[in-house]
Amino acid sequence: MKEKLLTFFIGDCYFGINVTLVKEINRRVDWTPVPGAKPYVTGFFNMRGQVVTLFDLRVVLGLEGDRRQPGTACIIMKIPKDPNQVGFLIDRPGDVIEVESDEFEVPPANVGPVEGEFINNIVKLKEELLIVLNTEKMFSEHGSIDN
Amino acid sequence: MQDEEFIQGFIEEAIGHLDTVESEIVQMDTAGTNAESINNIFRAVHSIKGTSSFFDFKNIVVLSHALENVFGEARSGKLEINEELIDILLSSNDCLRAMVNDVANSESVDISALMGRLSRVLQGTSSEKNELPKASEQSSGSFSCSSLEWEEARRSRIASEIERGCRLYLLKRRLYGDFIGKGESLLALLKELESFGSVIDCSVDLDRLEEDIHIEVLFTTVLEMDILPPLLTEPKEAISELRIVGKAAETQHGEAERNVEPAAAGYSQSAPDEAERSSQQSKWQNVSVEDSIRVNITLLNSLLNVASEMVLARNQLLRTMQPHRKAIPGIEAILQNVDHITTNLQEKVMQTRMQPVSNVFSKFPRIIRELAKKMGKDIQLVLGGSEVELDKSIIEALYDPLTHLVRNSIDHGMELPEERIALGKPRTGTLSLKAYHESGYVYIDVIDDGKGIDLERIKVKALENALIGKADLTLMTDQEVLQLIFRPGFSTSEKITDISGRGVGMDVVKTNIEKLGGKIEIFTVQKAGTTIRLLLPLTLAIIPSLIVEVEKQKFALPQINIQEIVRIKANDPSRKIEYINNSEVLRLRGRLLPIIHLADVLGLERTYMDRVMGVRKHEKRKNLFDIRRSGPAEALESDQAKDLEEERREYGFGYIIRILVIKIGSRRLGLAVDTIHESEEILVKTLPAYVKDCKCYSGVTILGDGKTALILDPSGIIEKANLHYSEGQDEKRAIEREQEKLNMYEYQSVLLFKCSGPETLALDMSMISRVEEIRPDEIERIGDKEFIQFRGQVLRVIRPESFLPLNREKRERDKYFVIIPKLVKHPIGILIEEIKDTVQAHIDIAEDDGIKAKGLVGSSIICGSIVLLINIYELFEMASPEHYKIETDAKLTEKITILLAEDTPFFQRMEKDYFENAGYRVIVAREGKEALELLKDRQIDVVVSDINMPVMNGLELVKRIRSDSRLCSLPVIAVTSLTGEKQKNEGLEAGFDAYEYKLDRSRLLEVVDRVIRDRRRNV
Repeated sequence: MKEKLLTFFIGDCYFGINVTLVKEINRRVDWTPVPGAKPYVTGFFNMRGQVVTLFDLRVVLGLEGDRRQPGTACIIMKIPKDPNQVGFLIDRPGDVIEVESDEFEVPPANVGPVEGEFINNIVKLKEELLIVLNTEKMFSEHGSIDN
Repeated sequence: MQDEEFIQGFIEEAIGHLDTVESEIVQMDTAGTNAESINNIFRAVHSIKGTSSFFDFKNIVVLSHALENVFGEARSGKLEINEELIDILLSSNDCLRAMVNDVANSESVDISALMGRLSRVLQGTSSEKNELPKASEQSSGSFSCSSLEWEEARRSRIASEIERGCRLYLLKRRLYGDFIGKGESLLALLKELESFGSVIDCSVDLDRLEEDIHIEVLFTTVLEMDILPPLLTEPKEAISELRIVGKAAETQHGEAERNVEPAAAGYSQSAPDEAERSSQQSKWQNVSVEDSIRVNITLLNSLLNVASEMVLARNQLLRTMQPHRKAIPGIEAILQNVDHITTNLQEKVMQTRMQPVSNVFSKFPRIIRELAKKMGKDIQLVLGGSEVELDKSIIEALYDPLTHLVRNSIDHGMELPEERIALGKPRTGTLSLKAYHESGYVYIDVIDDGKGIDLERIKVKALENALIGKADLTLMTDQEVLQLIFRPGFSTSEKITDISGRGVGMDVVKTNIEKLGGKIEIFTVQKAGTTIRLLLPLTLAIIPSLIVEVEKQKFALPQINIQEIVRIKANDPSRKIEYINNSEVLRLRGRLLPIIHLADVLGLERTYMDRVMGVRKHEKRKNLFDIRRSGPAEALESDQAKDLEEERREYGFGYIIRILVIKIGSRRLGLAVDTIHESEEILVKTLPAYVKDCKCYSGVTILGDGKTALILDPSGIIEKANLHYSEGQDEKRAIEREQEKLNMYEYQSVLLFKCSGPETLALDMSMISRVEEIRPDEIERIGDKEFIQFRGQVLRVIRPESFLPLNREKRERDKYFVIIPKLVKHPIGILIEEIKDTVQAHIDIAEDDGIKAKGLVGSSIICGSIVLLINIYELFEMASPEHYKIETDAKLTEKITILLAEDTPFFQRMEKDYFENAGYRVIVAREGKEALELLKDRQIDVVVSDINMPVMNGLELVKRIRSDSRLCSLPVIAVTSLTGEKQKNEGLEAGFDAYEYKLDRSRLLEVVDRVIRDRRRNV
């Protein structure tokens, strides 16, 4: 079983998500902040007439770094049942890589429970570790918190 | 055959027919029977029967067949339609509706009781008609055409087709044997027939249901009999030509058709019928001209989305191309074209979603009838403005709130007939539903002439239900007490009925209307009635909004909430922000207005531009106008005269502060923003679920520049800003309101503008409906007149300089403005070139300035320059004498002297002009006391008085007149610029003969004329 992962960078971290979950990647996004919203909401973005809510993964995953730094691109997710379009800013898109299922490993014990919640697997690449995210859980959980 | 799509089509169609039946039946109840409506019902029921039999919905077929029989009898005059029958018919119709709505289970519905009642009705009449189907059974071997028996209209349609040279054919087939069995489709055949002719009727021979469904298709075409069978691939025997020769119809086979004959006899009817038929014929032609198709609503919605995106794309294109317009030859025209088409497209798409209010209103005759009957009340319903259109989603969402309001009016408002008579009211109560356009919104009024809302009872109930404390209650004004009925858990009904009084409702109504972006208002007069007014946006999706900016971010604020915009300059001592502890307030016309900074509410950091450093700095000043001791402020002081515009840009709100005065119900606040951009019609998108917890927003939109912007929710802002509107605060409300009115009186708001010449012209804002921006290519010339298209209608536009003594300069402009006037019968747009400003000013009209001319009220000095005030009615009279020339009877008017009491010089001059032009003699008084003095020693025939005047107001004046024995029969007319039912009633109670809007000239003259005549007749 091979799985295709779309990889991207936020800060120094290397992430991947299942490529089938991705609707599109947008470069040069012109988003509008939402004052008063939860900190993990970066803002809204007009994707051809549809309003996309952009998340800040730095906040969601508790990453270090300046949150104000505008991302250079954004990944828009394909969430079939949800009428709300969601996406998140990334610093730089990577390649699409194929990973054998036996290369996946569950997050090691010292990954904190909060961050670990949204991590599906870790892939041990030759040079580095790739964190595979559970985006579905990420977005649905945050949606429900608000409701 | 049981194809989902077809069945869905059938359901939609049948519901349409059932609506027709219902409204016609209810109408019959009130207006009596007439042949036209019986025919309409007959047609509708017949179609339901026909289609349902295709799908084999036996119960529906049986019931509709029985109904059809009843109406057949009624049509032939054998059955009288009475109250009892109408009840049976309505419940049958309901039963049909229930079955149609749930066709899958329609077979399990028990219709025997209804059938029994219907057949009893039928048994009451002669049974000969019931034999008719048998007759067709006997002749089943030959071609019988049962469909021909039916309605006149179809016959006249056949007649018209035949006049055009068509032939009439009848095709007989079996549904299973000929279509389903062979895998062919009846629909395909019908479509084929429609391709070269027209299908008049398609029906099922119900009396031969046993073996197969026999279908008869009646159609007309210009083709000859010989070529039809091969063309349709149907056997020759299946098709026969029906010929209508003079008075009788025969089949080509020469057999005299028994069933066709009686029908055809209709053609030879006498002349009056002829006229009726031709009117029906034209009606049918109308129907066939207006082709319509069913479109799925989701498709329409996505079309709307695509159109909005198109608009955005257009905007981006235009912006990007702006620098290259000159460089690329020909691009200008193309861009204009794209621009135009896109706008057009969006408008058209929006139109597809518009539906007339009659879609909701039509449900009420039935509801009223039933409620009135149930409660033993006698009520007539008056519908007005049914043609007013609203977005489909709003129309749908209106049904429940309106029903609730109507029920409340009938249950709580209307008295019993005996009570009404005892009160000297007409026995029959009137409930009106009126829809109309006003300032960009649609108003729907629910008006009853019942007993009005008892404020004392509301107070008692509110205390009982612990909605409010006693102390608070004593401080509340009437309007605030009325607002209590919108509180959850409030009900004043003595006993809880199933109609109303369960205490759920008014609050839900209010929430629902507000959800639609609307507002709700109540006006009530004890013993006289109640009006509940709904203010609704035209479309749910698009609302006019003002784009405002704070901290470099744009927000949209719906205009319905904005009362006015106040601009305050730093060095203006007359208007400044003051402080109570740390809270900012503004004195606005004698009242304190709480000021909230949008940035603070949203949690944005307030910044200002530091001129020296050239960077934005955190705003630390509490006081906006605290003079900063350091560089920038001093620099400003010395440079002040330099360039205001530049200053504004650099200092943002630091030196000029813009405050939006927002009003929600009785709550007001001033919202301070950095910049106010243009107003934009924005497309509302729902707020994504992830930010639902932000109270301040009601939605998201995409602006013209392609960026998303949040739509502000004023009530959310009030909540977030923690504003406490204590009731005590409004203690002096009534006095203040009066003062406010007076202030508004002294100050008139006028629009200052320029035409092609250098003169500045002014028009009173209360005469302006709106101002539209247009491009020169939108002005079309027809003859010597100019026209534009405005909201899908042709509107004539005039240039004031063509009629008024003004300078004219020929100059090409890339945009113009059109002022759309208010309160005129035949609107004409005023084409102007430049809008200068809107100002509130005390306008003194200069006397003897030598500028007086027809079309001008006079001149005044506003903001240091000479401004010409336009008399819109005289201007229109010159432009379009046929509509505006007022013909008055000189003999009647010349001996009549009007005493005009009016304090505002502008209106004084204006009204004097109206009357003098109509031939009256006018004496002017500046206020009530002066008027009374004049009345003592001058011969006055009519008094026209303003309400709000200094020293003695109009109400006081009229009371004095009425109490003076010499003057008590003098006609007195009130004129005002404040129109409201409450004021009007107050005025009429005080003794005015009429109460009119001062700027509506023709109406004012009419009323003066009428009042004089009335008074004379009485004397």
